[in-house]
Amino acid sequence: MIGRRVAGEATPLMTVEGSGTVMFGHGGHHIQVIALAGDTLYVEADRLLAFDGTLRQSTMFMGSQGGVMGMVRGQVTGQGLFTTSLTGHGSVAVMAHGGVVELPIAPGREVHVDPQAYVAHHGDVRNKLSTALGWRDMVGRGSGEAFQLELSGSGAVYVQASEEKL
Amino acid sequence: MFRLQGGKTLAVDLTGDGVKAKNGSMVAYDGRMAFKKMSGGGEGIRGMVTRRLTGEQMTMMEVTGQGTCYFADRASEISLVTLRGDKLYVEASNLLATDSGLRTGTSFTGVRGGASGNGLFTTTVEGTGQAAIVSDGTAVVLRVTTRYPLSVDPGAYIAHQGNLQQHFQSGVNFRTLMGEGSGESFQIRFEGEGLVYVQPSERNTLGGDV
Amino acid sequence: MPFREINAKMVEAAVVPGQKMYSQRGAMLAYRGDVTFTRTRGAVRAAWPR
Repeated sequence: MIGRRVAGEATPLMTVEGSGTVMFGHGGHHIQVIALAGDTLYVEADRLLAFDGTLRQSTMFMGSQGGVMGMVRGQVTGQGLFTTSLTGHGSVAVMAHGGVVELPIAPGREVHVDPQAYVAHHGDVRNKLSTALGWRDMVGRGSGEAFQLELSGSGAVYVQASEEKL
Repeated sequence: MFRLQGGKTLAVDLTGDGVKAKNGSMVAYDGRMAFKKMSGGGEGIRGMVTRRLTGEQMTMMEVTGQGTCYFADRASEISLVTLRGDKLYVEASNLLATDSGLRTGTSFTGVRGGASGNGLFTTTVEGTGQAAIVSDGTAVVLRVTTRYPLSVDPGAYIAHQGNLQQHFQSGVNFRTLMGEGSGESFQIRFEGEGLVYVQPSERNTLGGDV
Repeated sequence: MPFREINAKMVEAAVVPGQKMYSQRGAMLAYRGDVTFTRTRGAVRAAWPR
């Protein structure tokens, strides 16, 4: 799977246009619809199912941002090397196993997330990867990861309800 | 009498009558039941060829007796279909059970069908009674009318009933172009009047599956 | 246009002339009407740190 990404292109998209109705779904994954009202949503490119064409999009290779996190997440999850940001007013359909839970982030109320459960976030949010003693015992099934993603600032993070990989 | 217990278990109450079900799909029963293995695919040479091609797992068994039997298929979601003298076409691997009174058979879908991973044959269920079909994720029923034809991704197609014509429409889902997953780059187009059952997932092709 | 949830694993969207939508390839399960699906060029070519 990583090999495909090496080509330098994130999950290729297709443009849907015309006049009619389209039903979207993929691999039997749960879908969460998120409505953007002018702000920006950051979501793993692999988890994006479909979105409004009016949204401004850009995709970043996580390895170039916060280096360690990109590498670790790539290693731990086998995915999540690309993050797509979507800005504007419109609707986004995102894939997450078992559905997602939206957790608010506020100054003084940082949220700690298992990187494998991270789906997306929106708002003015900074993320930092760190290790924490005891974290490994609480999450993961001995898969070796002892990292947590700390999100701070102002916004919300979407966490998938199940730890299963997408 | 077919009942759903949760989305993934089918309960069938029998009072001396019977139910035909996919081999290996029974998970439990109470009361007194008798089991008979049926020749899947029909009688004669055609039946034999069908069994060879579709494999042992497609054979049905018949259960008769008094009590309740329970069926499931790898925790797939189950949908109930009611037939009133009409004919249901369903992917063989997606048919879980039918009332004994319904006639089952096979229909040749053509070589193109095979290439899409849908198999060379489709199972037909005819008559009046109930059938249970399974899907990867809860299936949705889409209505087709003369005014509104429907195009469906072959991997998402489960079954259809009614007065429908289907043909393969070369399309642009370009998974083939990207070299990933299933090999089809076309859709199945349905015209006429009827219902099509679609799952929120794409079946693996014969080639791609284990 | 909003995505309407048909069930937990399927959404539906109306496609209107002049309004584009983007989706992951392979995400289309079924459609009605006159809809085209074409490869999006370059829209998501990611920055590669070399």
